[in-house]
Amino acid sequence: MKKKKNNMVEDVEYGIDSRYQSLKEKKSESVLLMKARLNRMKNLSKEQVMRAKLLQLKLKMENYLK
Amino acid sequence: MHIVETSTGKKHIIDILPVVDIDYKSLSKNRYFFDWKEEKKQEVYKLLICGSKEILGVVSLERIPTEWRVHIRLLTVSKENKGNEKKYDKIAGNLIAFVSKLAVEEFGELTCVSLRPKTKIAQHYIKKYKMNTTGTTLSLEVPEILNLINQYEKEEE
Repeated sequence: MKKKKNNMVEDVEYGIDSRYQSLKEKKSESVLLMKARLNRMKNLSKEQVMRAKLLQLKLKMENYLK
Repeated sequence: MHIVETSTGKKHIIDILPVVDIDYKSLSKNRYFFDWKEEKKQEVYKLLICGSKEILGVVSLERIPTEWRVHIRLLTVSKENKGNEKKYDKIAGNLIAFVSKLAVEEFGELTCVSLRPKTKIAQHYIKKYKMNTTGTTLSLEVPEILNLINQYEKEEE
């Protein structure tokens, strides 16, 4: 059982192929994802939004200074 | 950001840089598991130890501005860094954190990084990176994406 679990982790580590097989697949998954995201966004606190905006600003400044 | 040498625990500072044409010669399917030449038209980045030329990990992505989203198309570590015998740890995590930073920089609080691992390994990503699940898609959004970036940046200190 333990060996099986280790093999699974080993499989996980080598990588991911997330490419969409078709435009239709991409579109249908995008619609589902956006719907779920919009619902989750409603639950964000002001503090979480502020943290995101601050990190965005920090990253933009770092990129500008590079 | 850094990766950890598994045999010694030593931390190595990393660079994540765009893949250039000449890199595709060394990105063989045998060592990097996928045909990376197919990704030539995409945005592709390589992870290296600072000062080294050896590519330890690769990621290709698609920016989808209409959805405030960056989709990870392909992500891999080199053959020597797969499984229990891997030489360095945290390669995949650093690549995901790097893509997360690109996404937050572009889309701020609306941001999203998505990927679609095979069903059997999805649980690993959900647990390790606190990803949300929607159908077969896993995603990182605020606040989890901020925590992941902070986690990988803090480990730098």
